[in-house]
Amino acid sequence: MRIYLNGRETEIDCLTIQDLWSWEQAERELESSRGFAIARNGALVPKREWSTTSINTNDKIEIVRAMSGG
Amino acid sequence: MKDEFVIAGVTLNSRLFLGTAGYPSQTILRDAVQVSGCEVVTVSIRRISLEGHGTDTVDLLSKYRLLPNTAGCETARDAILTAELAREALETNWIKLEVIGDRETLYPDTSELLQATRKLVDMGFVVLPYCNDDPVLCMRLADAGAAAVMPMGSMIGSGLGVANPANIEHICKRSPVPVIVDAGIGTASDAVIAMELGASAVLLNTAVAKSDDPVLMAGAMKHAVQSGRLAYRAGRIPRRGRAEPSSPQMGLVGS
Repeated sequence: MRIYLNGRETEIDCLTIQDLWSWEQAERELESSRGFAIARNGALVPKREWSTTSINTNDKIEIVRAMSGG
Repeated sequence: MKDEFVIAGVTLNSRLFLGTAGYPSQTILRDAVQVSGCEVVTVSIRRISLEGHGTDTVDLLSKYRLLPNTAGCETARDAILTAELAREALETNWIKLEVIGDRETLYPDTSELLQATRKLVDMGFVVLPYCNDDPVLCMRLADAGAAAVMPMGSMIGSGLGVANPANIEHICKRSPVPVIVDAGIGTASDAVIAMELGASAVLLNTAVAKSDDPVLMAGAMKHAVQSGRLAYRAGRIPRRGRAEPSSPQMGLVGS
């Protein structure tokens, strides 16, 4: 299915936010989701709702992380 | 005498807040933060890079209180979403609120800033807004429920120091919430001046990160903030337009 991941058109094979996160987590070899958060179509998806939030075609998903800043 | 510094019920032992951007390396960042003695460090919230894995500042600075910012946001809406993402990512309801109105000067968009402050306070955030050195705006932000106000010394990253000391002094005298002078600090004396004017704390980043020796400058800033605070509490002497001898005038030899 086609979505917009961090502003870029992307083909994914994930049904829920949790699926997408699990893929990213494995890819980045992360131990936990601390420091990360996800928004779908301009609204925060709390971590407790990741597994019950489905992804639909053309969704705009933002995965963000805390990083250096002033 | 105890000189407590409290924000939203939390007592902080350091009056220096340090930004974490632009250091030559993660090791230098870690050492600078440690030497600065600060408790609160700022971080930003950004999209993950879809190519690189990035560095883990959160892990590196896990023993400090992380203060996420909304840097770069230009609308209340974007700042609010960024604050929500930050709260979820870092499990903190503290937010350094930045809503920028002009990319050239990085001056805040004051109406969006006020609107975002009101909304975020309603949503349970401890809001620390970066704002102009404007006594009226600072009052409005405090009225809106900001936990502290953070007027700029001068433009972000400019190193121009405290451009309008009279305004900062006014704000400090009248503010019902702590005043944290944020941005524009160039070197240690600038931080001393901000503190001598009555600021509760100073937030700086570039002055340390881009100095020739960030770890050394972090130490200088630690002492500057402490020194400025002590001088403020001690009270400076009035300025005079004439000399006033400090040694006794009686008993001069040969008189």
